[in-house]
Amino acid sequence: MSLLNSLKKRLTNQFLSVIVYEEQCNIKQKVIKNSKMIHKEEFNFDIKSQDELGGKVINFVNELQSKYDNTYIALFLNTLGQGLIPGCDESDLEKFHIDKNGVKSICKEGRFLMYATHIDIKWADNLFKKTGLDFIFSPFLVLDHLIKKEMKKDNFNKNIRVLYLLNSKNSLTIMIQQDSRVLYGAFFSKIKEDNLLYTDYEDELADSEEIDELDLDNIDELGMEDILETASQSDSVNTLLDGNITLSSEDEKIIKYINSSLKEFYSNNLYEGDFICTSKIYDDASMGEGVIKYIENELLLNCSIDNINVSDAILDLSIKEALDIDV
Amino acid sequence: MYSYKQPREKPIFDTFTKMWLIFVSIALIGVLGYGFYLYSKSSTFSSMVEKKNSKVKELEAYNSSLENKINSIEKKRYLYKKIKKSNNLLKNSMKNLFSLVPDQIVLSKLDMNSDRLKIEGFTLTKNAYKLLLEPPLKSIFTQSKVIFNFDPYKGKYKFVSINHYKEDK
Repeated sequence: MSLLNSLKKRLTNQFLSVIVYEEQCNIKQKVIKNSKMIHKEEFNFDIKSQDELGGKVINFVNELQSKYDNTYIALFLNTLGQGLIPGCDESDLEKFHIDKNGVKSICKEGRFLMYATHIDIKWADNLFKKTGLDFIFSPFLVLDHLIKKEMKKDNFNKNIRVLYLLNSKNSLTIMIQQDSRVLYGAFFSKIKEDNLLYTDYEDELADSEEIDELDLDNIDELGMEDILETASQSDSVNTLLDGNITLSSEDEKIIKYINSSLKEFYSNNLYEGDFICTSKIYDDASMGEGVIKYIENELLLNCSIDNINVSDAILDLSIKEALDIDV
Repeated sequence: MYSYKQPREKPIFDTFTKMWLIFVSIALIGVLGYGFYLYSKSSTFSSMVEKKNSKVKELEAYNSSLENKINSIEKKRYLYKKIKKSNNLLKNSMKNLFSLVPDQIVLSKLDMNSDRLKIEGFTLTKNAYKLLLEPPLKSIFTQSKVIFNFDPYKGKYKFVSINHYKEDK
């Protein structure tokens, strides 16, 4: 196997990261030969719905695939049916009111368990039926990848709890960690609340046994309850800030999600709720200044922000998965 | 593996290369098989040649023994001929000799050699010997000597004739 792997590294490998938003699809291409990058390009396409890539994108992806023998396609999973629990015990899922049989869970180095519902994974598979798909990456994996880079820095403080945010165009991923110990994780979708549950769920489930698994209890798992709960607090958010800064509706959403996460972290006994000192934002969607001000002034956390590119992280992760190298 | 999905199989060789490899390997197997067949055949041939060579040697040995036999038989034949010839000669000479002997003379002993004849016998008179036996003996042998001894009991002369035959050199 190792011989095969070393042979594979010498061949030309093409990696495609795909992020599907509601009306847009972002594709980033990276071509690697002999562990060296030889080409990189980014493409954006308009799509009609998040549930269908459309002929244009499919043709484009297939055309890219035909250029190179080995192509790996990776998808950034940004659907609601996913989450994270600290620790790697699958039986703990029940404690968090998550149906163990309804989700696929992956343990990351014994530190945390990320999970996604079979429905969401099937949705992704269907989306790429005509092109093929190699990897589906959880946003938690992406955030953890970015945090690991941060931890390698000299000035990284191992003794404090840090609130990490990954802000993508249509989602917000939150993780709370002390050093490499994961204490909390939550995923939020910024899609309009009307569209939160995509209608295809019913079609997907119609002839599947999994129909029983998506009962109302699972709404909890999807973070719906928190969202609805904090929605009523949104009015108070604006009043907390200086009059000079006006918050966009997206910023308001982010603040709502942060608030509900912190509330959950501090109040739920399942988490080791203790004071958080700083926050780190990985931004891929030009976060408003108001959010940072809010975190600093109202939550009293030190805040630093890094502009990153989720597709680059996805590409890094796929290269690591496929060839076990860092490029 | 931290992906929710297993990556698709990525074959190192595409279909065309696979087909090509299969054809090449079939051809290679064929060539190697034929080579092996030829090799085994040549080895059986060489072992056969060795066998034949050893047989040839055996036959050569047999042949030489036969030749020896033939030689010895030839020698025997030659000897046989020689002996037969000399015997014939002897027989003839005996026959001649006995035909020479007249009725008045009785032979008692005959000693014959290749070049010498010794005759002992009795004769009634010396003349009978000298007239009837001596002339033919003298014509055959180069030397002929005779000694007479009268035997009073028998009333006959006992004679001993010694004849030599000497070839002229």
